[in-house]
Amino acid sequence: MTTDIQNTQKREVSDKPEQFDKQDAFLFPQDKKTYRHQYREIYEARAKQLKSRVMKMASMKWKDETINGQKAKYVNKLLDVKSMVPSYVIGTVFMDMKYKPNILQEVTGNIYAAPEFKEDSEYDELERTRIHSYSDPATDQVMLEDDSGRLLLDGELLDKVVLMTGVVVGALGMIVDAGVFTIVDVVYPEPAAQIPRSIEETPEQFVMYLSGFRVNPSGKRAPLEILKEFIMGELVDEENLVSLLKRTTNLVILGSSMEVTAKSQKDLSDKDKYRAKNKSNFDAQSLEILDKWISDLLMSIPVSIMAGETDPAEIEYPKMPFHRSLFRLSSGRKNFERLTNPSWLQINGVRILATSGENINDMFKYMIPNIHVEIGSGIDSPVRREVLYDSRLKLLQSNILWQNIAPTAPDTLPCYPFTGTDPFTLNETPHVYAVGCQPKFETTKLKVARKNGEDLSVRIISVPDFEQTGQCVFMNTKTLECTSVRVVGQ
Amino acid sequence: MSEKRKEHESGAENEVKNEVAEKRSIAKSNDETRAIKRRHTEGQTDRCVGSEIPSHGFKIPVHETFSTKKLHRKLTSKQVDNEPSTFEKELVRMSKLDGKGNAEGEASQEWGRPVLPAIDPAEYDIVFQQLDADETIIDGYSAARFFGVTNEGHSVLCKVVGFRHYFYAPVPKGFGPGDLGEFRRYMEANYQGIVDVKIAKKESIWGFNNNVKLPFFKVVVDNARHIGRVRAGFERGEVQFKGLFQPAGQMTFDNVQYLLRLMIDCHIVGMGWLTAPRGKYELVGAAERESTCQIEIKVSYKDLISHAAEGKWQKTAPLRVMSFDIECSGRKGIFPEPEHDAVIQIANVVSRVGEKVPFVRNVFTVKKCSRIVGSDTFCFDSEREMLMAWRQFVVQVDPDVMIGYNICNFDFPYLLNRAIALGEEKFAYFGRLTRSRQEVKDAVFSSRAYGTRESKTVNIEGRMQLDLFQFIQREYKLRSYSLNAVSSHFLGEQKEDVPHSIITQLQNGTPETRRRLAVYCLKDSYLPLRLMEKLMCLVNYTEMARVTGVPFSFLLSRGQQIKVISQLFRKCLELDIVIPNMKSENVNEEYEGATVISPARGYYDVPIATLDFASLYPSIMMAHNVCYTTLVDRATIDRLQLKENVDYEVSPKGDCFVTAARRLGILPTILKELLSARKKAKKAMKAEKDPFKKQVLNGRQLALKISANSVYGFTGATIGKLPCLAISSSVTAWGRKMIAKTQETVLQKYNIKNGYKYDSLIVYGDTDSVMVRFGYPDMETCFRLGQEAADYVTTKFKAPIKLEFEKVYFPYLLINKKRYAGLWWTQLDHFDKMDTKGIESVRRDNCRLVQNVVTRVLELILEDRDVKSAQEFVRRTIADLLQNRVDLSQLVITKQLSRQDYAAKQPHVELADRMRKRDPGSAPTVGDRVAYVIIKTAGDRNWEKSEDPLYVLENSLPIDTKYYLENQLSKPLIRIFEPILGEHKARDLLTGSHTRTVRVASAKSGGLMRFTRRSNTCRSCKAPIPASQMLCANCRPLSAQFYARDLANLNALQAKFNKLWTQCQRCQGSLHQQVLCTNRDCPIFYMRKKVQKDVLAQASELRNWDAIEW
Repeated sequence: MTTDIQNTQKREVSDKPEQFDKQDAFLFPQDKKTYRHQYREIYEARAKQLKSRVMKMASMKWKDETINGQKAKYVNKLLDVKSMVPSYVIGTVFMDMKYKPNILQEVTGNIYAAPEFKEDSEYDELERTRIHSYSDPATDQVMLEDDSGRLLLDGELLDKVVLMTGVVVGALGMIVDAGVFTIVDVVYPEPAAQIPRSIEETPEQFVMYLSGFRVNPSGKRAPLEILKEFIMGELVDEENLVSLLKRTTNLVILGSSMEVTAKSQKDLSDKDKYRAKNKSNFDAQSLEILDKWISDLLMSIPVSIMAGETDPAEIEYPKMPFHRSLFRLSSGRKNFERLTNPSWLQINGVRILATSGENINDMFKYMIPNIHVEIGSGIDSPVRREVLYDSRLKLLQSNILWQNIAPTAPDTLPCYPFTGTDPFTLNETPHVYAVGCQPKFETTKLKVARKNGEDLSVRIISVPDFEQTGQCVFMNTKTLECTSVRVVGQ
Repeated sequence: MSEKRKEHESGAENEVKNEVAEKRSIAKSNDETRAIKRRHTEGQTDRCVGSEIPSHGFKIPVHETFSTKKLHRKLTSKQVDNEPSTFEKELVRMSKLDGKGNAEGEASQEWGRPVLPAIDPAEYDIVFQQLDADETIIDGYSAARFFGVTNEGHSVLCKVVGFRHYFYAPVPKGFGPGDLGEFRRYMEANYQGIVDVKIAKKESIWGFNNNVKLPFFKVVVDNARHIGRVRAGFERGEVQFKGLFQPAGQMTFDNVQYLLRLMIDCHIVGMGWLTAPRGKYELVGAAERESTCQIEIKVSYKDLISHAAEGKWQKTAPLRVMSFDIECSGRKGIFPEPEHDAVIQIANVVSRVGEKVPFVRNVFTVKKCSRIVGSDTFCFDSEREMLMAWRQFVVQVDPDVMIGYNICNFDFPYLLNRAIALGEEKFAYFGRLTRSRQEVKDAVFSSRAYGTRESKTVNIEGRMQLDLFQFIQREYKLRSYSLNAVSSHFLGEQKEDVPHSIITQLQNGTPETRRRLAVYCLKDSYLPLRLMEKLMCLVNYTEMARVTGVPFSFLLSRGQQIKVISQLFRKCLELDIVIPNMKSENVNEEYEGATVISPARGYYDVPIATLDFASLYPSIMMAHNVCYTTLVDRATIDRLQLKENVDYEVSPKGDCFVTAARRLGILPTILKELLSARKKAKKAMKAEKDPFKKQVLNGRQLALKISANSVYGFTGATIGKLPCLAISSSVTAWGRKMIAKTQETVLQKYNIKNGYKYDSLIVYGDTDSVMVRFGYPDMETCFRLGQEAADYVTTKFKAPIKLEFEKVYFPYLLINKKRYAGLWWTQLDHFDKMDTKGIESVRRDNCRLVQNVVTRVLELILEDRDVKSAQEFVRRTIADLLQNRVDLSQLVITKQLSRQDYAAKQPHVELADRMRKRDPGSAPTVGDRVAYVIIKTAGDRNWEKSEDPLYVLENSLPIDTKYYLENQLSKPLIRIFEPILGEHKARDLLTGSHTRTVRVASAKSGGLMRFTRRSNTCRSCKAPIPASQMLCANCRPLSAQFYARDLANLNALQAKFNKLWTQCQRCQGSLHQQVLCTNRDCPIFYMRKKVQKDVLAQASELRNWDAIEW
């Protein structure tokens, strides 16, 4: 089974998975949504799914643990923790942060209590920083809660581990000061099993990850054209690269493929001054460009695409696949796939969990202190740069440790109020976890252990934003090693 | 344990010590360290991730005090998602701060009074602050009981004996000096309780009598009960002696209740300090004690020393203030009734005045309740046990003040009636008198200033009651008086509100659900305490009691007059003056009020100087010696041959008052004292450093100001004790004259003729102020001329009348009489605030939209000086209104449901009736504020169109946007814009292109809608199309655009849905619990409901696209 491509090169094709049960794992079409429930049910489902798994690890790790010479005991309800008694508990983390979005404040300050959706240019500098961070280290509070109540956490350890609203963990510690649980150790849920794959039988083929084209009619088209020609092998002479491209069997586009321009929005609002308020982020021209671009590529390689932050898709996580009519040229093609975001993929037996990065970007706001004093020096201030370009790798790893890829949904990441299930909790540990639209390319291998001693290894990939970096990422499906190639730019 | 392990452990210990040392050294820069650490999200995963790590034997430093500063900051951080998660943290903080809490903050609160050392009455002065006083009878004689607290916090009951009540009656002509003995016998024979009849030289307060004192009978009785009949005997002419008394009866003097009489004669003021000196009082023996006070004494009124509230006697004893709240289980749809519904929780917070943290925080619950850190929970199996334990608690904690929210009308009566229903006889004794049973009585309070209110009162002897609900209703004008609204208004907090029906569910659930209720209950009991501190009610009322001399309890239970009466009697006592007991007659005699200079309406873009008379009416009374005692009639003038303007002055009204040289009036004297005391207090306040003492002084100067101003009102109160229209109408007449004179003087001086660049103009003037346009565009000149003019005009009046230059309005929008807005400047470099009078932004019978729009418009016009933007803003708002984009909470109108005897049908009354038919339980009852919106109906009478906002949301009823535009928005907007744009253009704002698009929500049920069928139309051109399509064939190329628009709408709603519901989770302080709150005063309550419907509707709209190819 081969497809003709230009330059008479032959490109390899991966085996279509025989059985793949997870392509619909994140599919929640509109007709399933009722909006009658509250968000507590997600937390309940999450705790239900993860508590026993945390318990397994906690009882193993802490069964003989002591604090100040006293043996630690498991306490089932947070409110039953007695002071000065070493205890370990399991609960959902909640981070109380000063700069979380606060609609109450917006509404109170607003004229007719309708929160306005501002354009970027309308935000002042402080507001803009707030968009990037929720945290004020002086007042942030980390709490643990279950259905009985909340405990305030404290301890040096909090500076060393990454905790996040919505994460279910076990904590070991003791109440020394009234109402404050000083923690000394933390455990995460037992990782879910991995589907075994046979590395020997897997051919050395490659998956190519891309994200963040941000196509817009006024933007430059050259990078995209160069990229296309690169993928089709027209620009490459170097032998290594030629063979890499030859063996690249799949292209996965991880979100933010289109971007709206300020101009198109203005037009809409001027014509219809007193009418519509919610501006569409749709631009027919960008869509046409993208559709054409993909359909050209489909001649050469299967393309999978997910909707990201700036794409015309729902804001709620998980995002549903693009409407098929949006890609008029590509949609009919068999090797074109519209993915949910997040999404499970299976390529050459490799189980890949991919998102377009909204989950990480939101989590990142919990980690970065809001340094509004220093921001005075403007957009180019060094602090700001550091904030923007800091590494996200640890957050990606944490997702696997927590066994949850979007803990901050629904608290700060909009999601549908699911009942009875939390789609973001992992019931299978992927071989690869790839996240798009990140500031830079990073990759690592994360090792986690199950209770039975089985070691799992997860390949973590932070896929850079193409518009910002001009890079794409190739992943070897046999070794899972990754390389990035700068196609355009410096 | 192996050697190795031991080594390991001790090593760990060392490490810990090092860490501690390090911690100290970096304690200061703790934030920075954390900030830096936080940023390092790179690097290796934590060591504790792997599972194969052996146990270490962790160490947590226990005795090392935590970086308390940091912890304190953490615990008190004012995050905006405030409730009750922060409240729970606040509890933790309190248990840390009171220092006594063990690590769990539990079972450590001691609440008894400090132990009383043995007292030797011969050696020991009892000094206490008097709090509550009442009358009693001891050995057949009237006596007074003063309850108080010593500086050490011991409770005192001081019984004051020996003081006899009395009144005066004039001695008739022809009554010889030898007749007195016989007359006394006559009185004793005919009237019960006569102790003595004496003759004293006194003067009546009424009218100038050339300072001649006349003989009066001082009739002394043993018991306050008897005085009424004796007095009536004189007044009805029943007292007859040798035919000397007029048969028609005669006037009596000095009618004042026993307690006040005693306080006046002994110079005791409310909340003042008293000393029972050693050797003069008697300790009441254990057997005869009637109270639970630690010290119970008896002392003669002659020995009791009262200290004027000056210097060290300004202090406040460590009063115990207890705030509490009860929760009742209810049946579905019925407001709890004590006959049927149990009390399930009582939360208490007790604080000592001046201390930051309440030292008792607890909840009494029926059935087990999980513990709450920082507070005690006392669980009981039965309601009976809980009630009795609570009673015991109150007696032990022995509060001096009991506060709460609506405790007088709800909590106290409910508890007492519930105890009766349970047959628990012993419950109703939690006052300080052991034998006095607490009972509920109905009271009607009627006052011109506060209107008529029915309320319930409970006698709790020895404990002051301060119901914050009553206090706030009395002192503040608010849109709503629910605890939610009040705390959001004063404390800037939204409060979780749990509906009655859910309370029962929570109670019947688990210890955790009961805990949730308990936290809520505790919060409700803590809020009144915070409100009290914030509004400084205790401090201000204390000072008011001290200044006016009345007992504290009078301030809430009585009107304004009693305060003036108390002061008048005190002054009269010094001067041997007696006050006639006038029968109050309801004379509807109107007199002309203050003057208003007709406003020159318009928008002024030059500074307008405002000249005010400082304390106008008091200073008129002082300047012209206006008083009862100086009022003189023509006959007396002729008799004494007084000369006009030398001996007396004629008011513009024609009434005559003698000059100060002839006789200094008593009212001017009181006023002078009040005002000079106020000056002193203000000065002391400036010098004072201690914030608490500063508050006290501020409270005092406020009390003095209010007192001074109420004197004039007292003389004009026609149903009052001592109305005298000659005084009040003369005062206003002088006021009018002065305003006119001021106008004239300013106009004559500041004009082009006199070398000024512009003619000045009096733009407006009201009661005690005039607003002058000098014409100069710069602020500096305006400030200079304003000051100069004020000083100049002052010279034209008698001292102490003073015209003051207070502020400049710039710009200034004068809409009409008593309606204006402007920026208020008192210094040159920046304005202080925006000041509005009589404009919808401060009125409360409008919907919030009007308020918000008016405020914003004024901001745009006055602050930004951008009339164009203001117009544009109005247009956009109107468009939003007509297209149903305004949030429902903005359209809610509230009105209080008073007794239902309205003649005309009113929207809120009709709605309450309709709601009662739907569900009698949730319907508003008399006294509630009814919230409604106006909807479109077949009829057009307003009372038919009101509807419950929730019902509107649930049934998608269409809002009558036209009503809101025409009846709510248009008038205030036209009023504002007319002076600026002119009538025509202002009207244009309300019509035009922005009003052409109208969207109406279509009702789901009712009326014609049942017979209609919706046909599918093209989303673009509205052509009818088959049901499965979204666009017609012609428009199909636009599919993607229309799809994206639907998507954008959905996204906006989804984001809103998420923000709203997570906000409520944060507010309730839990992710795992259901959001139950039904706080209708919260700005996002209706929004939250609405978005649920909207997002669903939009999602189904989007779903229609799924099957469509384009």
